[in-house]
Amino acid sequence: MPIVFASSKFYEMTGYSPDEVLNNNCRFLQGPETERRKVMEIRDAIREDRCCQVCLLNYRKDGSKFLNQFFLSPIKDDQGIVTHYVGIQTDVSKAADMLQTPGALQEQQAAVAFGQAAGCRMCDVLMQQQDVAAQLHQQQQQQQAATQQPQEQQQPAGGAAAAPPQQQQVLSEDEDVVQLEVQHACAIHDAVQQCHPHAQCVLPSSLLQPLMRIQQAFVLADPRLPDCPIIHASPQFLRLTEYSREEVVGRNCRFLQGPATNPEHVQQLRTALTADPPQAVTVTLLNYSKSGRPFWNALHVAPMRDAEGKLEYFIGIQLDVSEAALQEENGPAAADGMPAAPGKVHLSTRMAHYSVTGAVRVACRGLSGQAGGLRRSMDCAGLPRRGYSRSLSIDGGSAAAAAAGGGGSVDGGSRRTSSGSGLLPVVGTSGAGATELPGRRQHSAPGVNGVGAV
Amino acid sequence: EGSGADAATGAGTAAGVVAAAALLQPGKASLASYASGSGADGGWQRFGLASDADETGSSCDGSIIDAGCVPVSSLLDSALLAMWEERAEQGLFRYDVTACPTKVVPGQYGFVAQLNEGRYSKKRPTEFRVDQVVQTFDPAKFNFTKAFKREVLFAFEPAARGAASSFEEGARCSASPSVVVINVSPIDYGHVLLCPRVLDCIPQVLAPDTCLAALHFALEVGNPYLRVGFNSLGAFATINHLHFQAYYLQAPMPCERAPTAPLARITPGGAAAGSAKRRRPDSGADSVLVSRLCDYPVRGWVVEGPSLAAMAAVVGEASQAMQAANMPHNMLIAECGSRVFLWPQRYAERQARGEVPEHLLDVGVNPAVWEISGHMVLKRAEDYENFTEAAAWELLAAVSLTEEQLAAAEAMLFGVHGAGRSSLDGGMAAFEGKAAAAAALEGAQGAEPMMV
Repeated sequence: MPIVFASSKFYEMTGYSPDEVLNNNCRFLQGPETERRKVMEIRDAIREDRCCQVCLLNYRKDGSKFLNQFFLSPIKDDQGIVTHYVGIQTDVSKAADMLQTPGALQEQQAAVAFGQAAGCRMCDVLMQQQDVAAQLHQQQQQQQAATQQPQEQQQPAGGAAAAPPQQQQVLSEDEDVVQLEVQHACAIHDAVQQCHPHAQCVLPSSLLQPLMRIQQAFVLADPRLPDCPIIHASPQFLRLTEYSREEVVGRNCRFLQGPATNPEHVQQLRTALTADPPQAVTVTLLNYSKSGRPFWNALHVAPMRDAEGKLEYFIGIQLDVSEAALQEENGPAAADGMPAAPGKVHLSTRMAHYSVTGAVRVACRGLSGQAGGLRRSMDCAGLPRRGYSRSLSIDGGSAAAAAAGGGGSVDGGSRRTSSGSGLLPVVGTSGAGATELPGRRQHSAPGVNGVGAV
Repeated sequence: EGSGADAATGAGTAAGVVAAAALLQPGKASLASYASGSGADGGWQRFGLASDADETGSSCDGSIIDAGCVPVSSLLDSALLAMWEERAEQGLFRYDVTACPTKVVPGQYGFVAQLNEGRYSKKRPTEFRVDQVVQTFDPAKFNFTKAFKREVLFAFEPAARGAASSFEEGARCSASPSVVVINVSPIDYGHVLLCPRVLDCIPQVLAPDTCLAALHFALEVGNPYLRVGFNSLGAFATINHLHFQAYYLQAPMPCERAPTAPLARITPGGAAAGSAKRRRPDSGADSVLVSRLCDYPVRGWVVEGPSLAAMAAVVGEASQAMQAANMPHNMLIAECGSRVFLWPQRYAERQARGEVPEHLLDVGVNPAVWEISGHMVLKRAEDYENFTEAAAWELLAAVSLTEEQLAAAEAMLFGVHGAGRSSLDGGMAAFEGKAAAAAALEGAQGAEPMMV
């Protein structure tokens, strides 16, 4: 989550310059004596899309340590999607120093020390931080509203990349933010890197964060929505296909097919994905980029289950193997400039497919439609005690998904196959108790349920 | 029975022997090597941290990075996931673990419950006594040299000095390889077994050098959602051949959330466990912090340190002391090797004495390291539906040593007297502690052993 804005007090406190801070994440503040449990707290707050307040040891650029009372808060847009995180830092080292306790410093010690020595109670600091965060929320939401209009008028290409620098510019010109700068160190992190707010990314952080780890071309598609549209596309996919995110999200990826695409390859995909339960499949087929360039796409599509074991998404991983095809002598090169047909899928292709599949399986395992999957649901409460962070109440990402999908529901029991050469038809079969085939992946599937009331 | 490792399918020793022959020759295997020397410039491993951070366990790239940025999956992480997924497609697992419902139980700690009937359906008969932590390796019983070759994913060893981490298909591995094997009854996605020096047939006991291998594995994967666990005999290991377990779960383990209270700083040296000499007043750059785990149903310790080697030494020596005292114990490596949890336990002992309530026995969960960490694999649907944090707490409380027993163990293992309540300080307390520790040691030696 890169930092897109930091106040001047932040630079003062940490000793870093804007070049070193912007577009990096704040791990550079951590060091050997930073408590790992606090780091986990922060990570888990992001995973659960909630606030957190921790007191942890940070390091300035010159290597000196300071005790950072850190408050992290998500900023959501009007659809409930987390777009940014605000981090507020307060240096409470002085108070702790006055107590002269070497070694590991506990939160309570720091709180007591702060209260006794600095004449300013810890809870005041925490409340101040929450106020600052609230103000920044407002700022950010105003910025989002403001920047959306100019973005709409822009050409679709390259829209996403332009967003962060623009926001940065607008923020620094804002009067209120300048005031905040003077008193508080804070930084704003972009949570949905390169994902334009318009693109309807309805994924919770707990899924989006691991997806952003994957440096390959892939898409996630949602079979519960009509025509199984793409709901997430990686930057590498956009580069490979030359489309922008807006042109891709919300569409079924059959748009990659073209005149010379072999219908049999497409049929292989359809057969596997409409089976009950859907099966993983690898097919190399001819696809076309936006500019019409044909390429051989080694495509692996696999069903993903959520924490309840229900089918949640399909993942599609694309590898351009056209060059490999040229190097292999598999029949004559076709006329009219088509790349030669590739041979069998190589090991490294398999590894590339499977590593992405595995990583996304782990991520999807944390999701669950109603209950929030592996995220705790806890009451909204005040300040954390003893290092735990109490979360705000969480609404699962599926609520937003329903909104974004326009409430499209699929009849249980009907199977809708797309006209023409559909790539990812909607799998609308009602859940059937599949027989258990020991050891095979495709058994014991709770089945695919119609969307109904998601 | 229970949640120990469960490596090969059934008791197919005949087929297993064929596989063993293949393993016995240090032949071709996929080889994942990790950059181990300091200053190693393995590009993918570093994520941009300063080079002098490479050797240190607590500068784990994975955990630091994941506090909100966009890290890249490590080579080992990708390879592990890829090969596991491939084996899953080949149907090598007894069931599809991603179809097993999982949920977080409401509550502050977020205990994770899973309904998994398949894991318990084929029980391996217990081949080992549960009242002895150290038992000699018996080649006639099941061990990992008998694992099917197709269940072996790759060998794992240090790269040449100065070389980057790498993954090679069909490479030649060393004469005594450490291998990574799938667990065909997985607890969750990616469940594998790390078997250090598998052909040396080490029994299921920890030592500093084998701990270090497990820590390196955790660091190298670099994913804080993959933990590495260990069960001693008597703490529900089912195979007496040295192995660690690891799998992915994208949530914190409840034990990772629990607060800690610093107990001692230990500079690992050649001194025997319990010797007060180990506790030096100055906390040097290489001193390991041992803390007490607080507010958690199972009492234990957390070890954090400046380097993997130092942590491995402290954990290994502590384990050896527990082995000597016939104390069953479990270990969890978390945060990519930055935090190690160590728990002595007494569930089997209480079971033998009939002290475990019937309703807990009915749930049928043998509390090994994953259960103690807070991940409960349940075999009955009604237990899963109705599981609560209180139920988890009750089960785990039966595993824990009492406060007195743990204090005695602390004195024996770490030379600490005072039940861990005193805050950590240098100077005078250390010298006071020496005399107290010596007294406690004598006391501990005179006390009853942990296991009948």
